[in-house]
Amino acid sequence: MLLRLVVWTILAFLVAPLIIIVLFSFHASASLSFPFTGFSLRWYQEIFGNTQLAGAVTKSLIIAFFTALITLVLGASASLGWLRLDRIGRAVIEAMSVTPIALPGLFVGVSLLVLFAQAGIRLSTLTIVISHVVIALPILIVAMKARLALFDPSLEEAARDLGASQRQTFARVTLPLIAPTLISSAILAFAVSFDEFVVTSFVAGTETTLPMYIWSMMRRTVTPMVNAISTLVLLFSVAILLGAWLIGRLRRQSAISARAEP
Amino acid sequence: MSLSKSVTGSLLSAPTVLYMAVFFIVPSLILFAYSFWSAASYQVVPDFVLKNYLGSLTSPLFWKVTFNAISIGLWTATITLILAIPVAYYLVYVARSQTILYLILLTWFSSYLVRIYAWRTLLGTNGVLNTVLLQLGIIDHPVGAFLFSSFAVTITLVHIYLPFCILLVVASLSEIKRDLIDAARDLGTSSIGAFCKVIAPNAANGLIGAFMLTFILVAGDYVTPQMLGGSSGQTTGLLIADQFRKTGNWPLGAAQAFLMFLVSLAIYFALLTAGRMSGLVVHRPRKKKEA
Amino acid sequence: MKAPTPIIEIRDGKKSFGSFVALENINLTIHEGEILTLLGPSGCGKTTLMRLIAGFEGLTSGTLRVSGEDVAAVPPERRPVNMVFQRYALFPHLDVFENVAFGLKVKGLAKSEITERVKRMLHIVQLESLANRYIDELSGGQCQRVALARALVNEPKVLLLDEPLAALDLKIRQHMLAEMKRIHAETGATFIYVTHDQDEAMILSDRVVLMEKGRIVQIDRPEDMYARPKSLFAAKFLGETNLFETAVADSGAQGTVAKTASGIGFLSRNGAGHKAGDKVVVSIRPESFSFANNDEGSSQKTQGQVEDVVFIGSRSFYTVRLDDQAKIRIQVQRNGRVKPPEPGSRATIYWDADNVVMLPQA
Repeated sequence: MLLRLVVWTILAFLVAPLIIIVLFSFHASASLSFPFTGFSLRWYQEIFGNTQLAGAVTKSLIIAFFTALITLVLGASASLGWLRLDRIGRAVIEAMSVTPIALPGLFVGVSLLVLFAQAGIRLSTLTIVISHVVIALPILIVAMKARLALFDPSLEEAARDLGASQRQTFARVTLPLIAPTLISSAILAFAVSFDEFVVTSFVAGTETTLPMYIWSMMRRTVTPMVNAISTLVLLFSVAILLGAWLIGRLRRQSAISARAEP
Repeated sequence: MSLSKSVTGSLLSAPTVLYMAVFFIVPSLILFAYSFWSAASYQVVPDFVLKNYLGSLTSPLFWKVTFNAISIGLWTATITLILAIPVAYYLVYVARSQTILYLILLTWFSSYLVRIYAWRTLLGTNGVLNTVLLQLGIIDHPVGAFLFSSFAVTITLVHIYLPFCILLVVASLSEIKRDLIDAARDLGTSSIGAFCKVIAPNAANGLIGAFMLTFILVAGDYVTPQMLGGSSGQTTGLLIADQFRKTGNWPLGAAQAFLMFLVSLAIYFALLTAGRMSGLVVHRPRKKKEA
Repeated sequence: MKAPTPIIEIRDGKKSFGSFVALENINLTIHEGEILTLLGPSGCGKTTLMRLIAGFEGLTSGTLRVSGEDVAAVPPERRPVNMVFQRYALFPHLDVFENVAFGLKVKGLAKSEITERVKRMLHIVQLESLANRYIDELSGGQCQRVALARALVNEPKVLLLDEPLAALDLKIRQHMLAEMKRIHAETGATFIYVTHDQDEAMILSDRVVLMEKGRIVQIDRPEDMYARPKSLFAAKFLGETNLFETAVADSGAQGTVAKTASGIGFLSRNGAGHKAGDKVVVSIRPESFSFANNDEGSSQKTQGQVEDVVFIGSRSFYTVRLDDQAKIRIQVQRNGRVKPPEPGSRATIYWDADNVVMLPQA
């Protein structure tokens, strides 16, 4: 079938560069071109001896962790609020969350930079986390909104009707229903932060995150060591995606949309 | 005493709204204010001058790089949308394949810089593309022009933004029922005809949205052109970024950022008007919900 | 028969949302153990009335008593009332057993008692074998039973059912109606049933509360409401009917006589209260007309041309054009005694004064 062929060609276009990256990370020689001269783990060995890189990775992990945490807390609260708001309230949250997604990172980055400059806040890990939340929070809210649209408000009423107090309703019905989506969204927030480059480059000051380290390496040289780092980053993304997917697969999650069909 | 629903809702949403107000809206406003200030010897002076705007608008360099950014943006968005449609169509109407979906998500979540790096090595003089073409005998000496060209920039940007665009198109097609295609086929159109005559008009707003979002993000992406575009890689984004880093004229950079924003807006409305005039986009009043 | 005990009493109930008045002038007494239906078209306020009783809304003015106690300040979780939601609102993260046990668990009952009561209830709704299934693995009819069980296991004084069959297809609907009657008999709870479907209301209820535009227009036993509607709305909403614009000519001991402009006269034994000259609408059900004069004494008649016949098994529907061009529908039960007229032929149509209902013009 023609459509199938077209689709798979496009997918090959998407995936092939990533495969090439992984392939050359195992290249025995320093060249990044065919013919392939044999497999080696030397580039990975080089990575593990690199303390600068280790520092950047640690920094990125810390930043991503706090970004995900703050995003989760704010996003969870906003999601619960969203369920209770009328159309106008929802529109406010929506406008605030959708607009940053539709703007280039450059715009967000420079406007945060001028804010920090104007408020006299020194650029640091803190300013990076603040900025990453600005990017991750809207993504979490958009993801939550899609799930919450399927949340039947009569579930909460049913719990009350059956004798549950407001707190019991929250603990026994609302939270179990939204938790899987919240957690998988928070994992995505982690991934977004871990990979963020453009905004970070404006608000990082002297800090170096992993993407910034990769950037500086890329500008200096082309070596399979960058491939090895990229492969590990890629692997990490796959792991995160898999994690989010597994949580999404929990049967409780699938159930949120299982309202009876009309 | 239990609080009323809307009060509880507002209280719960307040932290998020406050956060976005302080770290998104306020900074945008400050940036806007900056665009009227003046810069003198690395100092930003509160002022009200239009020279940042006027200076940019009369600068040939500004127009050149903006034109470049727009052309990269339009080309990339067009190709991206053209590639996104069949994949989205396949996912929505033919087979909701989890494999395909996760391949798309995987590329979407693979590192932005890694992908730029991938294309740089693929397209380099000793890169994979050249060696493969050489060995196949299609070319007899390496083509240097693969890298540092609009071609390199566009193909990379398409690669970077295609997954996102596919997901947007999937979302807009999902709202159109399969029955519509079946009905169109039943009434005698081909499958491509059914897409053009039934799906596209109904999804037009969503498709234009996907195109515009891709366009805006691409036109504002300065890293890719910088890394892969060589001399042709100078875009407004890079110009603006440099104002905030190298030269240090922040007010000028702020003004240029808003000019770029205005240009994007203008293109959006131009596109929408063109769509309306050609009859592709139909403005429908929203159906009122029954009480 | 002992006097019915009131369980829910609403006096002068009014509910408005902003400037929109959803309910007005609601006076209703619901008796212990009955099945009462709130019937009306969508937007008539029946769901709002139910949500008031459940406690999800409060009255703007008036009083609502449950078992004699004013419940204005009692939140839904503390009312002796449980609800079956329109789309069931079953908890998707819990299995069938846990769904049914929910109300007992939040009350803090002992585990052994919970298990015993849930099992008994699952037995009543015939779902023992599905206790460990999740909701997304159930059919619509099964969801319906879980929803019933989840509400009834709390032994509510009143069970509220909000269009519980709307999401089911016709076959299962009829089956579930019978089930619900059985479960009602077994539990003895008071059922308040909201529907816009007149058939469900007729089949199920002891009494029907007919609502229109936020007001109660009639409260009656289903058969009385069908035979003696008190308004044009009631006559049209319940079942099919033939309507004639008439004016009252005479009112006496024999009954009330009204005539159409073309001179067809209707004698009614249900027309008391109308005096000569009043404009009234005469309503006669299709099955109240016949082609045979079976009761010489009181039968009235007119003539017309048979235009069309539709056979539906045991019944036939005739469309007859009267001599004044008005069209009427007649339903005839098949039997061997009378040969029905052929399409195109002229026929004499008879009806009985007992079946003529006179209604004020809307």
